[in-house]
Amino acid sequence: MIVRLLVVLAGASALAGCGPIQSTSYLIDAQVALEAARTAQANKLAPYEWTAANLYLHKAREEVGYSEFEQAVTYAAKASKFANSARDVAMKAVRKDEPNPSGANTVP
Amino acid sequence: MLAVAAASTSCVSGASLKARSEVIRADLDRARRSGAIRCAPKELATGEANLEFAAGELEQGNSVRAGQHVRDAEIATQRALQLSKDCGPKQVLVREQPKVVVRIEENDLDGDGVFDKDDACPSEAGPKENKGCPWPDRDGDGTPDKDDKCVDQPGPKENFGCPLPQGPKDSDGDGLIDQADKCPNEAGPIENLGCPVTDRDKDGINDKDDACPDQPGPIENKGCPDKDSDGDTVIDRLDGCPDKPGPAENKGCPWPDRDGDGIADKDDKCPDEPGPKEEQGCPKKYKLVVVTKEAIKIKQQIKFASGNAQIIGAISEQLLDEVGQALKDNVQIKKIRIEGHTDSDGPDDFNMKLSQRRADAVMSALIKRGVDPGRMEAVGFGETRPIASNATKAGKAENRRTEFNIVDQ
Repeated sequence: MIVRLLVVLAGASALAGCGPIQSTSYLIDAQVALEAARTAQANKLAPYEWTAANLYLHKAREEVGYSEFEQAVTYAAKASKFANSARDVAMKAVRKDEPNPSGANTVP
Repeated sequence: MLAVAAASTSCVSGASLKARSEVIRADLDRARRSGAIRCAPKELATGEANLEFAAGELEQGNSVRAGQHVRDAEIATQRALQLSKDCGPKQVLVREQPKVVVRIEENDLDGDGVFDKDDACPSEAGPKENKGCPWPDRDGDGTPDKDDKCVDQPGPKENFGCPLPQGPKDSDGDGLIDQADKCPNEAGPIENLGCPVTDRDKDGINDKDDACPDQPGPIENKGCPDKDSDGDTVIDRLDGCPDKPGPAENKGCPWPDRDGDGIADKDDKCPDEPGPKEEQGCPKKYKLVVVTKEAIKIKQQIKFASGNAQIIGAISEQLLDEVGQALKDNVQIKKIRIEGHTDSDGPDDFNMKLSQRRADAVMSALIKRGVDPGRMEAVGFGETRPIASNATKAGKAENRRTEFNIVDQ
């Protein structure tokens, strides 16, 4: 019975194509990257990248809803890229604000 | 029918959206240059993302969704522009050990100190008070209208942009004002009342004062060339005798020659007696003749055969030789009259003819001696002009004579 169910699932999966699976994977990656950025306080320290990452992730989900998987993958990938960038920028900003042992500082 | 209408609407809408997208893209670029990434990062990101989403939807033919993204992008972009307007130039001073580095992040294309984003005229330098635009200057005199008291008339800055008051006019710029300039439109020296000097013959006399404007001549002769009527190289106005040639030493007059022998008195040792040059103007010494002003006098008489005109005797030949020579020596004697005279013996008519034949014989003899016949004439007077009494033998001998009288010299 279980074996039969697995076979049916595999068949259904093959019939539906690999688009949804692929896009879902990208969406999950983007979501993870975004969470990492949030942890680094990117929402405060890298607002541009943070905003872009969220918008692209939102659009990727929307495209999945319209079954535009290819477009969804593209947007999800961009969301990941922006999320990673946001995290990097935020982490750099944190390091910059920390006391500098050499005495160098930044004056606005 | 509906499908066609929808397709048409979609097509028109798609083109319109693309156009709007281009505008938004330009605005986003401007916002980014103005520092929106610092002052409006969320709006910038929203604008850029929605613009991309709109493009994607248009590719898929979803103009309705594309339109929504375009609207979102527009709103976000306008907001980004607004927020970044006052973002201001940021100068980041990075102090490194040990030196200070200044980095200016804003552009100032025209270098007027007003950054391009705040410069209403980014390619023209202008003060900050006029938003980076140059002050208007209608008359283009370099004094801006705001400081120009004569905005429509160019003038120097020292005169507050107004033209300087005009002095007396000198149209031809020759230094003489028009009122005093006889030729106000032609430059000329003051000596010529401001008129140009024209001197066609280049003799230094203005044509208007030159009696001969095309022939050079001295001012003493009113600009006309000097004449030399007598051709003695002394010009008439300096020639004491303009019609008679003479040396310059004597002011163009001939040297005086009282005795008319062709030798000037100053060079004539005998200025009152004609004489040849070789005798320095003195009469030549002849043995048998004497040259006077009136005649060539012979010391003895020419002898003829009795009753005819044949010249006889050696002395007669010598006399004729000397008379001929005297005529050659004294060129001033232009003409002599050879006169034949007889005594009163014999008939008058015979004597007249005989005297004529004898005068002709003498003339022939002189011609043979080379005397020009044009200088001589022969006249027989017979017994009509006695010089002594025919009553005596001695008187008759005196009356029988030949004379050589000068008639022209």
